[in-house]
Amino acid sequence: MLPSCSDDPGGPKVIDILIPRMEKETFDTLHRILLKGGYEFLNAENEDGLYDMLVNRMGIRIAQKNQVIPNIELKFLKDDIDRCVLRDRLIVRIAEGDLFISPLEIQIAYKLFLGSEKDIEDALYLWELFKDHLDRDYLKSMMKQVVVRGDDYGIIL
Amino acid sequence: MELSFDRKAHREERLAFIRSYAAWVKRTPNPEWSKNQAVLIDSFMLNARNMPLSSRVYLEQVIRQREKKQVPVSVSGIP
Repeated sequence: MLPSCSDDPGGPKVIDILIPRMEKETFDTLHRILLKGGYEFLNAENEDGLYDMLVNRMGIRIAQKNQVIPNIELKFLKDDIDRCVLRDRLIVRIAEGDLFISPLEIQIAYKLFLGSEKDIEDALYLWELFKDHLDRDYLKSMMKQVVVRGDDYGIIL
Repeated sequence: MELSFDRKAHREERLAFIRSYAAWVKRTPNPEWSKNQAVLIDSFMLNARNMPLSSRVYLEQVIRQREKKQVPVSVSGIP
């Protein structure tokens, strides 16, 4: 699983989680566990519809009961970049356990690609914090894949 | 009355702030900067919980925003 913040309406209160495709029975179990654990699905679909959404490359939203934000957008892996995200994930160690997040190089490239003021600022912030630790060839290749440059913002490779 | 707004200067100012904030985070001990971040995030969360928004309206907003951005691929983490 692979959480990281995204910028839906209302600010950075959405965690995207990417998972490999799972069988319907496994999803049904997950669905049941989440509902029992006090979560709900924001999408109106039932469990069959939710599974169909995932299979059809859409994300489904999960939040604590009676609370829209913060929420999780759960998605199945669907393209090469998603597979890179999972393959190259970073481990964040916190007191409660380990979290996996997407590689910073991909986050920077993708933020530049999204291109809003906020996205650019996020990309620059990550770059400034981690520039001495990034794999620059990897970043260069990700930026090439999504056809972006960072020169205008001081992200110079 | 005519208002002037220099978009480029505004952007440069914002980017300079990001650079100086990142530099501050790098030279500040983890417990100190993370405490500040926690205050900010907690207040975001509190505010979000009080947001009178139905899931239907919220999802409509998400769709509209994505259409505007025309996001073609998903890199998790990054919607």
